[in-house]
Amino acid sequence: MSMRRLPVYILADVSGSMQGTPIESVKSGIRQLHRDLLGDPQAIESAYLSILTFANQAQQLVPLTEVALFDPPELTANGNTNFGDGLRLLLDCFDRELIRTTAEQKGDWRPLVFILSDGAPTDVDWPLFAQQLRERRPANIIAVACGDQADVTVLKQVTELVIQMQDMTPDAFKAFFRFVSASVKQTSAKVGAIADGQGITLPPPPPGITIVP
Amino acid sequence: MAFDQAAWRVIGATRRGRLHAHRGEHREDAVQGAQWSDGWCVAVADGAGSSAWSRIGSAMATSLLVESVRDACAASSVQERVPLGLRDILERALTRVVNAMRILADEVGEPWRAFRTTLLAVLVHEGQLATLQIGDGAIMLRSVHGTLEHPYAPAVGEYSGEVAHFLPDDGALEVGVASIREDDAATYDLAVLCTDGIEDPWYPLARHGAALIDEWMTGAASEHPSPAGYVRADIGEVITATAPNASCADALATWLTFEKRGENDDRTAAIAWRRRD
Repeated sequence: MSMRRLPVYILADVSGSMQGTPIESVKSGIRQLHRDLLGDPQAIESAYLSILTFANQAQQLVPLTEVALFDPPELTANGNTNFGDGLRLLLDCFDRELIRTTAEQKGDWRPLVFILSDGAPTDVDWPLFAQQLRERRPANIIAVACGDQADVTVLKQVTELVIQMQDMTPDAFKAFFRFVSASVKQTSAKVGAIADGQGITLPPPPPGITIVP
Repeated sequence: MAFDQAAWRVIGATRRGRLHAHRGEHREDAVQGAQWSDGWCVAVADGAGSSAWSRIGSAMATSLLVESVRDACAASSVQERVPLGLRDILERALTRVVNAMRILADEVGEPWRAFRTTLLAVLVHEGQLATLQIGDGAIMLRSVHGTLEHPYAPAVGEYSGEVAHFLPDDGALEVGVASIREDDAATYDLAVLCTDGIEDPWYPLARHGAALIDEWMTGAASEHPSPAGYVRADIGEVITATAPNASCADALATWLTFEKRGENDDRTAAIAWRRRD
């Protein structure tokens, strides 16, 4: 590969509690994100999207795919919240799909990951994978607590950057995915020093979405 | 930028990348050069994309470094002088750059990191050549025997665009001073400095540097491998024996319009080559 990619992963909770309006809003939001990125000349050149889900088990519905060829997947909500399997799959994707910089080739840009969850994990393994993500820091991870039932403390175990949607209305999801789109476009610029672990600069979250301190 | 200095011809050019052009933002790269009776100095710099005033940082770093070096070398050329080696000259100049950037940041109430920039420089004075590098970008030196040298290994992080050191951060001055290399200038007939807007699409320069220089010198594709996906600008040779320096600098500026998918950063290069007349 001769060009550098900005990998963007969306890891979405599709457990039973997401049935109905929430899952439809996530599907709609992914389609909206795709349309937005198709309209951005920088994003269409460098952004690659992947959709992962977790319920009873985790699945990679769409492998890392360039924006022009990305096909928004169908999502259905059912089952438990096996958060640990979702994180495990995310780590597996990093190992399989990402290209690191070497003496011979320039690698990908540091990936952007958005993790959406509306509840609390039902598995017991998630702390192990959360710890790996925090220690390895393989990506810029933004965890999204969807609604007031989401367990923010769990998400804080995965990443420092947790934002909360106050409700799970279609408008709230729409605003969130506009935020995702703006984040992807902004991240295509140089991210700065690694020496002090400084993270990316994200756009301000829209109304109805707050950063969890 | 273009000038003749005794044995050398020196040009530099810089171009805003498509990313900044699309967003209506400033170029964050800078290039400066200066000459005096016994030498010259050229510097390029790339402001950090995440720093609000990095375009000021890169402009300050290149201007101040080159100015300080010029003043120190010109002063060392007068009869009553305290001779300074190139290492000392560069160290003092770099210190001046760091201090000035920090003072400005403090005066305007901004954190130092708001002015973050890389900095690369080549200095030739009284038959000696010295280089320094902080951050990414690349310096190439061609020996009179045709061998390409790369004084610094690529400054790579795990992923693209991740730079370990920027001016005027803590520790960057020490990194810059530690990077200073000196050699006999007679060993070389060509020097290239570039920011990562050129290093990245031509990465690794250890493999593609020869093709890059061939393209500048001949205007044609080289027998050496070029990077995949690279589309040349519609320009002939950049470095010629006969054309005026200003024309060569214009040609370099046109060459900077090359295309490669996903490579949208600002692009800056300076080239110094020995005169054959």
